[in-house]
Amino acid sequence: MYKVMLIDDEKSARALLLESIDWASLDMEVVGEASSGIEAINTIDELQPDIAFVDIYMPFMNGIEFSKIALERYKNIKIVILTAFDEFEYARQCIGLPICDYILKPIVRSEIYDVLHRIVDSLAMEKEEIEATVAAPIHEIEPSSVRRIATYIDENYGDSGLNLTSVAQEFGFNPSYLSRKFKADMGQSFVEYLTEVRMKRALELASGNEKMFCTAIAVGIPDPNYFGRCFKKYTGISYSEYIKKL
Amino acid sequence: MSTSDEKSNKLMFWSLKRRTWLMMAMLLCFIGGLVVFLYTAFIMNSAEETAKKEGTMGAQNAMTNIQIALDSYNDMSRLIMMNPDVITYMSTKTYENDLDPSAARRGIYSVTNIYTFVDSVYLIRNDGSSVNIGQGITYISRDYMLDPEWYAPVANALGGNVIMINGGGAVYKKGGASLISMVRDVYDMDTQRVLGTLIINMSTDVFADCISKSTVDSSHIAIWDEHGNILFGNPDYAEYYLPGMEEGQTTSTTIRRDGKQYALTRNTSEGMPIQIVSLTAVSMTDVMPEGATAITILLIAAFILSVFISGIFITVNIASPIERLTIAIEQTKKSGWLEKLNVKLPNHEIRRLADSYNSVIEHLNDVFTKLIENEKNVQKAELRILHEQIKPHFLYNSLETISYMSVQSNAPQVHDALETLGSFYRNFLSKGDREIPLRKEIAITKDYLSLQKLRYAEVFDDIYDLDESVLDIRVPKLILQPLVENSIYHGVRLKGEKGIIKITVKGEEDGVHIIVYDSGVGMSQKQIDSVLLLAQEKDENSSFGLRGTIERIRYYGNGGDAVTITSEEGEYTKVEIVLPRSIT
Repeated sequence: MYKVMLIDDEKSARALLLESIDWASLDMEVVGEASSGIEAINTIDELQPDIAFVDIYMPFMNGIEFSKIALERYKNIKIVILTAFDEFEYARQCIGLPICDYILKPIVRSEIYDVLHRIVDSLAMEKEEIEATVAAPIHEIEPSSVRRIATYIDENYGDSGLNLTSVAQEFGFNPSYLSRKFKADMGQSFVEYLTEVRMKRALELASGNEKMFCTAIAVGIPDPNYFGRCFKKYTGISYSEYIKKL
Repeated sequence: MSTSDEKSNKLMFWSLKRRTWLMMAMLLCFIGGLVVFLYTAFIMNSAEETAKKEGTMGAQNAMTNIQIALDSYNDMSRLIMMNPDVITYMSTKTYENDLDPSAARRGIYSVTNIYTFVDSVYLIRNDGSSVNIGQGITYISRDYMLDPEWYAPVANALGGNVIMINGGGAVYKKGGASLISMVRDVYDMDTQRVLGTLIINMSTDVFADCISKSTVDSSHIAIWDEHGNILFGNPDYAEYYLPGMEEGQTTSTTIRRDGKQYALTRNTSEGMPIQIVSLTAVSMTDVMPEGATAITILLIAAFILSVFISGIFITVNIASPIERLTIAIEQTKKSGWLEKLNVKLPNHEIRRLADSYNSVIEHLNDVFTKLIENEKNVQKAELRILHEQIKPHFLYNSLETISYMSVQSNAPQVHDALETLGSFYRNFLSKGDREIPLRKEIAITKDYLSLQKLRYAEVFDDIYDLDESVLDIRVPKLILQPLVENSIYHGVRLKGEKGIIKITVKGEEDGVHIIVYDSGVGMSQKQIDSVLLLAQEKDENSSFGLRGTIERIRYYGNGGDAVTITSEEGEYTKVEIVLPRSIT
């Protein structure tokens, strides 16, 4: 099963893709959705998708910025850009990125099937290659290093670009290994830890009666919608309710 | 317009070159006239004056010489009278002694021997007896001498000489040659009584001698006696004798003779019964030295040369460059483009004129380029506004939302239709190239027809016969859709029974043929003509889409033959277009 991630700020667009394509027939499964680049960058490490459909025009972080970050972390991820002709200026910025394909909006199922068939073929080929290559030796990570990383997160959570990849690069570790080691040592995943740090700070700011979108920016989740969801998930109530309760 | 106006207009439009040369010609005429005027008015005049003066001097000089000569003969006559033999002969009383004429003759000879030109000498006593000497035969008329009228001047002279020609008629030389006579009374020295008369005759050779000693050329002089008989000189001058001229006068006039200008001088003298006429050629060299003449001629030549050089200078430097400039501008105008002049011109104001013309052209070209650019920008902006008004983003998002709803409501047909509509508009509204692959153009048409079939399912079926090998050629966007639209609305739909629309694409030698066939009501020849004859006359009833499309196809394709329409009324319409395999 290949894992598919749908990233589009239009809910109906994501839903249409999800509903109208028979993913199972292609040995694929939609493992997650994101309504912004910010949300996507925060969840991609958990989802580990093979394929990502990315709308080019999204608020806070557009499809191209997201693709750049994602491709740095996951060299083999297949990114399919969703675009309209009048977003041609955006599309031009994709030149030089190993973008897998482009699909014009509004979507036509036959075109998506064409693209997906091609992706399945290339993925199958790469799988063979990866199996053939010997896994590179992995640099040992000391428990002290994990603690240092945790401290680093505590200090830099406000950076919206902060994620597993960037931290791993900063410390010179393999991201996947770091992910596993982090969970093993800290008892929670990298993303869970980062979100917890951010939410704790958010609670502090909320206590200070800070506006939600300002808090969102301050804690490094500039997409207020996604921040709102994260907040609700963490506290059980929405940001506005939390402020009212004070 | 009157003739004189035309003439003046013609003159006004004379070229600078012609005007220059006309001006030069006028200048030359003026200077030529001036030279002639100065020549006649001053130089000729003063040459005449000089000639007259010279003539007068010459004639007077001749007269003076003659008088000097005659004075010496006067002395001679006195010597004769004082000769003792002569005195004896004259004072001898008649009948007292026999006269001794031979002694008197000897006495006369002894005097006359030393004088030339003496023709004869007569010594006549009151009693009529006389002695004479002489060469040749000379007659003397005694009767004449007794005429008191003849004698009065001699008596009045009181012993002085009276000069006469041929003795005032009393002397005649055999052969007719004229003689100059000096007649005087001979007085007794003691008693002062008149003893007789002495007549000395001289040949006219004395004149030749005098003239030869004078400043006058003997061939240009003539001498007459008081009766108009020529005594000496050029006999051709007879016409210049002036009868009745008073004595002691000098007159001078100018005459033409044998085509030459002469000063004619007449001179008479007191007591001389002759008139001297001399001719003096009027000569420029007398007033102007030859060097001066040469300099004058040289100056005139230099002036003419400078006039020509000025003419050539003006022609070469002004008239010709202006002419070339005008021709160049005309040619540029004829070429129909705003081109800069490329003409060789001398490096002065005229070249600056051409340079400013060029800079104006440059400026105009800039302005035109800007205007065209502006026009293009305005068109682009208008297209963009049009595009904006359609708001494709909103359309697409709405389509996707409705598509999702249809999927949720389990209405796959609706989803299909929305998808087709989305695909159609996506291609239909797409920006980018004006030319698209034929494959895409077919896709637009297919989408369009499948959408139309939702509405008119009972009206037509669409059939495709596509040559795969030519579907990748690029064609102008939206050439096919208007044709099938026409097929539906002006073809099959009007027929009331189900028809077909067939699209055929095939590659041939002369290009790619695209045929849109419909089994509709067909078109009359008149309708076909009106559609093919372009939008020359605006016919609101006929489809603008079709005409516009045909025009565009013709523009991209091979001109007038790019579109053909064949039809049979009530049966079918077939529109065939031929496009080149590559659009230039």
